[in-house]
Amino acid sequence: MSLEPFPMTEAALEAQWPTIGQAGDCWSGAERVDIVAEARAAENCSLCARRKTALSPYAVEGTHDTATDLAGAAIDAIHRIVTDPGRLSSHWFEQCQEEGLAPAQIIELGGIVATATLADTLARALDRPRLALPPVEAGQPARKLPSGLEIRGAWAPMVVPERAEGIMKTMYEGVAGSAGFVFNVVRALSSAPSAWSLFLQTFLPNYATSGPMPEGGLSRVQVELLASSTSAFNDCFY
Amino acid sequence: MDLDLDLRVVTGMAEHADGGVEHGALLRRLAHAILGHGDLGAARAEAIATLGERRTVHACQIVAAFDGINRVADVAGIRTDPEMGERAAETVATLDIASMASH
Repeated sequence: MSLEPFPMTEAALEAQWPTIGQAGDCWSGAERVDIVAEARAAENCSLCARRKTALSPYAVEGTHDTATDLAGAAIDAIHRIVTDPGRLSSHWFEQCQEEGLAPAQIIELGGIVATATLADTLARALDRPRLALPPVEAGQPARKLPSGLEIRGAWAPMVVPERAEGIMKTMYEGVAGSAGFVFNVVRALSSAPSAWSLFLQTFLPNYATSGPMPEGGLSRVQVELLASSTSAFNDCFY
Repeated sequence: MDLDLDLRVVTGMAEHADGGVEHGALLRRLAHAILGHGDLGAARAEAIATLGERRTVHACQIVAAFDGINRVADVAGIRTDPEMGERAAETVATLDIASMASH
């Protein structure tokens, strides 16, 4: 039995999903669509399945079952983010850089994978078909880092609240206004503003730490139970 | 946010399966099934029969949203927010968060 998402969730997906096909900060539109295709391929990757059950995910060598021509370092990062995110580490982040990925590339890639994960998990949960890969649009990546990046509160550089600009500054101020500070998770993707915007605009219609709950929906405490249980099942502290 | 929730329910260690939350065990089963562990069709049907369609959809959206944001947190390696103070320390201890690689 297929279920319909809430209108705000559906509208956010309809608005944001096509932007994956546009050039971002570090990756072209074609590469960003490939990141989604690769994330989906990772679900059936035999190497990832073996790594998932190994004591250390670095103890198992082999070749990924791939769907794209992305560089090997990007493919490995995507597959690990999809299939074993709870065992990502600062060592992994450093290794990605040694293999040629810049921090902002890793972060943009991660934000796209996270958005695809949200969309695909929702489709599975509601028994609906997955969204088709978005069409690729022409254009070049911005290749410009935002100002105000510091390594503070994460192993990735993030834009600090006091130096945020534009829409990021507005968002930070909104969060700080209700929570008293800017959550690290709100800043996590800020080194790649295209991914930051893509993910947060897809995520926020589904969850907020304050404000009214959807009419006829779950209670606040039921929502927090689901959120924390999901994180625990994923071995994620968040 | 001050909620009356037995945090140990998220790791299956609470004294009562619901963790003090109405339909807590059912919601946890649904989340587990959505994430690929268990019979999703059965869990979804049980949720619809017990909670109704709208609450079931809401539950699905929360699980999907956090399945996504967990990747965000893990990729960037964010730390618990120091501003959360004692609540963060309590959560870290209760859920054994320090043992997680991505923390």
